[in-house]
Amino acid sequence: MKKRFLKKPGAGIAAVPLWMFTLVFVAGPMVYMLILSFLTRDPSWGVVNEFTLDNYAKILNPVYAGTYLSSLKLALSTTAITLVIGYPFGYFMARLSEKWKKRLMMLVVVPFWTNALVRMYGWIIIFRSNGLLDKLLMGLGVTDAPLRLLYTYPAVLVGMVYALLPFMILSVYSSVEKMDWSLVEAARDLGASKARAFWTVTAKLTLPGVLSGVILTFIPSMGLFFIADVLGGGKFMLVGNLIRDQLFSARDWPFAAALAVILTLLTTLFLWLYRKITHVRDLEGIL
Amino acid sequence: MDNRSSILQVQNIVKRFGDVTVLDHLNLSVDRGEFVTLLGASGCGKTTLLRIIAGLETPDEGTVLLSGQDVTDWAPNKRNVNTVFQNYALFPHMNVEANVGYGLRLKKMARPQIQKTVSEALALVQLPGYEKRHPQELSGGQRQRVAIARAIVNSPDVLLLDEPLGALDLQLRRQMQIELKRLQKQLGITFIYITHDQEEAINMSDRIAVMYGGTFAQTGTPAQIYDEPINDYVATFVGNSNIIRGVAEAADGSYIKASLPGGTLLARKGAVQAAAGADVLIAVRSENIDLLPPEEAGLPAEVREVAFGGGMQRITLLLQDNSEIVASRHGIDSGLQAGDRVSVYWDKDKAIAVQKA
Amino acid sequence: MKKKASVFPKIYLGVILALTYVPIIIVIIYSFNASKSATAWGGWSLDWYAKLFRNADLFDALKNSVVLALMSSLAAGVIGTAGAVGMARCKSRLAGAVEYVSTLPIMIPEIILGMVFMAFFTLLGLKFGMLTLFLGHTSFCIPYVYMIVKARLVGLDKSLPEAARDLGASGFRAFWDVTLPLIMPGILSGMLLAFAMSLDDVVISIFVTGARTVTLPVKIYTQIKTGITPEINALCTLMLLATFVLVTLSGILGKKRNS
Repeated sequence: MKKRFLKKPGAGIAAVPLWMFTLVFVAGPMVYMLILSFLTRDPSWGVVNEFTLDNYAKILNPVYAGTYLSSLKLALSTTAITLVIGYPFGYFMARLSEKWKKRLMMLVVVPFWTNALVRMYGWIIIFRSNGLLDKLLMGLGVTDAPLRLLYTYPAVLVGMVYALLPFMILSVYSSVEKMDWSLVEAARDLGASKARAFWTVTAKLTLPGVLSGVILTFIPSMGLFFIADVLGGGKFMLVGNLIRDQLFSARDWPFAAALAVILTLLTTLFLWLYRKITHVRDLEGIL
Repeated sequence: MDNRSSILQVQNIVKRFGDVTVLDHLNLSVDRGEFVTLLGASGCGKTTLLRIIAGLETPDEGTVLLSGQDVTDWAPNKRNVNTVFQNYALFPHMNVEANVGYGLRLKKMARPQIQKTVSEALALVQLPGYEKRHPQELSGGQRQRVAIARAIVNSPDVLLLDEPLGALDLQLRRQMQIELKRLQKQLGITFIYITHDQEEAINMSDRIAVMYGGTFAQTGTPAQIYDEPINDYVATFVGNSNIIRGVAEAADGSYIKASLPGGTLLARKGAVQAAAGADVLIAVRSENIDLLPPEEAGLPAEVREVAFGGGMQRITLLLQDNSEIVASRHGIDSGLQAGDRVSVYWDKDKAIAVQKA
Repeated sequence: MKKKASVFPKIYLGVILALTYVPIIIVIIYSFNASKSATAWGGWSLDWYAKLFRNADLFDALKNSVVLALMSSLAAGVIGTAGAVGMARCKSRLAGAVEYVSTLPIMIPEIILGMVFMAFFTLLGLKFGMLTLFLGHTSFCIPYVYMIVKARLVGLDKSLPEAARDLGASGFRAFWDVTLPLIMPGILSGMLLAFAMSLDDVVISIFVTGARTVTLPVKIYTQIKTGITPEINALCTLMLLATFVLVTLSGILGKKRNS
């Protein structure tokens, strides 16, 4: 009796371009980044092929470590505020009728697809000294002098939250939307108060959506240097700003690579934790 | 093995998924024009066997012969075999005409010819004039007919049907059973039909292959399967029989004398060659069990429960070895109630000795 | 449900939504401002639009952006779709790893992608310009197409292509006749998303752009940084309009996808 071991190559061949592209233009650059982070910077120009750990040691330098920490702080604040605003939004939205769900989805997505810079520009007009917000507040008699909000920490925070809120909303929405409501009803039926039913059932079941939203806001908020630029006036440094400045101004590519490697590891750690906790492979609500 | 009239032969088919052997050395030969049913509970491997015949799955061992030709490694599109899928698998982006004509278009048949053939096929399944409808606009029964038309329009050597009536309600099911049988007779196409419904299998088939754990528990005509089950699985799955354990005392012509819990009764020998002293299993259907007063000869038993349902009275009885059997009575009130003592008896022609599956 | 409970959610949704539209509406209003001062209001005017249409630099940037978005979403459409179709057949560990790496561009912060591309393209000695922009954008466009098409394939009834094979279609023909038309809405909405993302991208573009080929977002970024001209308001308004058209289009496709 003959046995069949060989499988025909078949349609798997269609994936070859993806494999090639991924290998050359994603894996290649990432590996190069890793190598670069262990090389020595040439004092005049470029890099020297000499192994060193200095670039990683340099991150511990208070100046850079401080930037990393303040960037983390901003990212955490952004994420927390986004969660507080976004969770109720996604939750309420998922409880609307089908017709309104679609309409709201559309309304949430339009700003999301609008050029981020365009939206930041709107905030500049609002925050600018003697700008719209100042005029409004002074007109109402709340304040009597311009607040000079532009180029302050709160302005950057508002910009970040504003840019990343849709990610949180969509993540929470998609997990609330597919939740089985009879479970909440069952909890209520078994005598749980509204609040208790929410904490014991709803919160647990929507955890993947929340975590996904947290990742989708936290990770980008480390790197959105242009928001810190246009709303913070260059006074606030994110890891993103640091990397960019190392590339363009200081021309210390190996150090920039080391900074990026750490950020990548951090990202991977978060994604790994997400999968460990939720046992879900793909981030909820990403598309 | 070379049988001239057999259109399909399945020889020593083995299929494993990981560590699980789904099909274990299966052999089946189907004659031209025959209606063969693969009957079994879900997970018995019947769909896998069907997919292997269709070419949608490759067996790990064994061969599939179509009209005597080894097609084991042929792609599904090279085999003159068509399938009616369980969920119909109608192409949602094509209308009925395009669905039914799909196979003909692939054969490069001329357009007017296709139109003619399609409308004939639709008339055959009693859906004339439905050409321009989309599958989404059809009811379950209509989709079923379109799926059948789409398959038979290619005049396949063998038509494979995977629980085609599974999604229909009982009434429509009965109606479709009759229509399918008529269609099969009319077209003379060989049908291989999958179902888990024993009644459907018995109503429609020329031959039934009962599948159990990746093997054929028994193959035979509906009468053979129903009246002469060779093992306890077939007896219970097809005939809803009670199985009573005992020891053979003596064989007497075509009957066997079995020592059972609390008494000795006769049963047909069936396919069992039990020598005296060997363990035997006796299969007897609930409606064939007689309940006599306790002083009469038979197996002493105690009534456990009397339930009424579907115009039948079901009486659960406890035998002396603590095994339960069920007797049924049509309509009439048996006058029995829980705790009563009775004697279980049967006509020797109504019980049969079976093997352990 | 009690009436009281149902009012608060609606107010909340309304207020938050309104807030998200405030900056956008302000940009639109200010694009019609007659005053040269970016803060003061000087009445309605279309001057900035007129000025905008005479600004050849901005239009060059716009053209670059559109061409780039078209090319990279198209490339991503082909590579991403083929990849999703092919990967559906591979179940190995290696395939899992490749999938992880190929979706990395939309998982990691954009800044990292920008930086590694800049370094890598320098290493390869590529001339910074349309080619580097195209490669960079394609890399983050692919995951969008790939993931949407993959989801669509997973949701596709496997017996449909099988039925086509059973009726006599070759593997390729079954794909062409059945699978492809059924995943097409997914491909298109993936490409549309990729197109929008490419058109919108600042971060990666800054790193891989050449001195001569500037994309529109990069141009806006430098203008906002160096000094604000109200022309930008007009330009942004036009881009909003374009976005709205795109979103509506994808909404129509989405409807098709659901039916």
